[in-house]
Amino acid sequence: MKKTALLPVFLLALALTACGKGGGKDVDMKTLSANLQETVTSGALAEVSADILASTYFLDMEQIEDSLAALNSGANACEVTIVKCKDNSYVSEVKDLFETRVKNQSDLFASYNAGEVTKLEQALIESSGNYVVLCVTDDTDAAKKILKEAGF
Amino acid sequence: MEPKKKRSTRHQRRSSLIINVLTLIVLVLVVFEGKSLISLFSRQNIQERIRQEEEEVFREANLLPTETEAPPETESKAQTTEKESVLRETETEAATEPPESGRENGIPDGGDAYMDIVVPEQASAVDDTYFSDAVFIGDSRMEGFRNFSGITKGSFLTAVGMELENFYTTPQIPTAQGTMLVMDALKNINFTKIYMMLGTNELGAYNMEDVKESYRKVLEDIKTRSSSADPIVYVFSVVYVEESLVQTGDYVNNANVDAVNLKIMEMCKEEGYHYINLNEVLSDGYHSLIPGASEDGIHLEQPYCQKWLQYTKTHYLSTV
Repeated sequence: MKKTALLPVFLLALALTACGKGGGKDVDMKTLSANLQETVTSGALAEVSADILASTYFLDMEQIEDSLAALNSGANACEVTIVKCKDNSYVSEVKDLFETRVKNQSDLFASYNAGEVTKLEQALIESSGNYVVLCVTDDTDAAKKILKEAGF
Repeated sequence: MEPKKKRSTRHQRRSSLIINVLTLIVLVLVVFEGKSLISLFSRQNIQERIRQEEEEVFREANLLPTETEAPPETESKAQTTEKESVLRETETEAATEPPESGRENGIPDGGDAYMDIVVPEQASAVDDTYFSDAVFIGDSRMEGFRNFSGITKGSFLTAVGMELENFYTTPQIPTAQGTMLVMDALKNINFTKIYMMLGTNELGAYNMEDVKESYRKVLEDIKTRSSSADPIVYVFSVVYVEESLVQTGDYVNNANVDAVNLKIMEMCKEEGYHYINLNEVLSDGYHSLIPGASEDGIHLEQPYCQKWLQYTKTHYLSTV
């Protein structure tokens, strides 16, 4: 009887802690982006407009609730982009579009600046709930750690 | 009496254990899900947070100038970026101010003969809508301009490594399905203005006359894709480099920048194109890029891309 009484409490605890990996948890996109940008050492990144973001990744902005992209001066392949989809069903498509972006960049940099291809090969594309992150950086291990701490 | 006492102790221990477990769960919930719990039980808290975030956004927006006329809902972030850039530009103005006297104006030696094709400064700047029917085509430097300047209108066909030599052969314009040739990508764009910047990747060319002819051919072909029978063709000068920082080859030097720009000016004169002399504001006054304008000596930092945009907004054909 007493064990039965404890069951709802555990279920509640499980349900609430499950939010950590689900769509319910909010990500502080500015802080996450700033932290990831600190792992980029080969040149400063700058935040671009939503229009530039859309045309860079071919995202359907109708399906995006919020976004933040920091791109580079054209000198290297580093970039940090975070999007929050309105619905979880769009997440996998965003990941595919990020994969295509990485492949396109790899093809271009292969003949222009082959050193950048290594970074692109280690590009991080991670999702958590409705959020998707693309990070091309000089220090992938540090970026991985940051993403893990942020729940990705 | 004694057994009764034992039962009582066991009961107390069990109760104590349950209380401890519950306390532990509550503590875990408070620590890891405190925010969620508070939100669950406090609508006011949520509203307060939304209000605070709104205030923060509005506060940032108030810092921005009012030049761009795009709809606020879709371009607020772009406007913010542009305005922040203008502020930063003002801060760096003293460091980047072009030289006063006795220095060159960004025109290569011999270029004075072609000054009539150099786009003059207009009394007032256009806003971004001027670029709505424009296509910007160029290499990684143009890509940096797209990313960093804060421009909100226009179509961009840019790629790192784009050059006249691979213009027709290498698919390099990104799409959702892969990359395509510039000429194919142009089929999907309505444009009556062309802003072109190539030449940096040609600085190692043995014969600048060949570069001129290739550039002429490329622009002729691009014009055929325009929705206008007579599109306006603006050609950006190749921007100077900071030689001491360049690591891609010693051919990337300012003597070659001047050489290629002279050929571009000749082509513009012959074809009736319009030369935008970016080096007027990006030169240190001695045939070189402003020191500190680029981390690698070639690609411009954000304040200088903003300067580039501002220059483009004040240098256009007044008849348009």
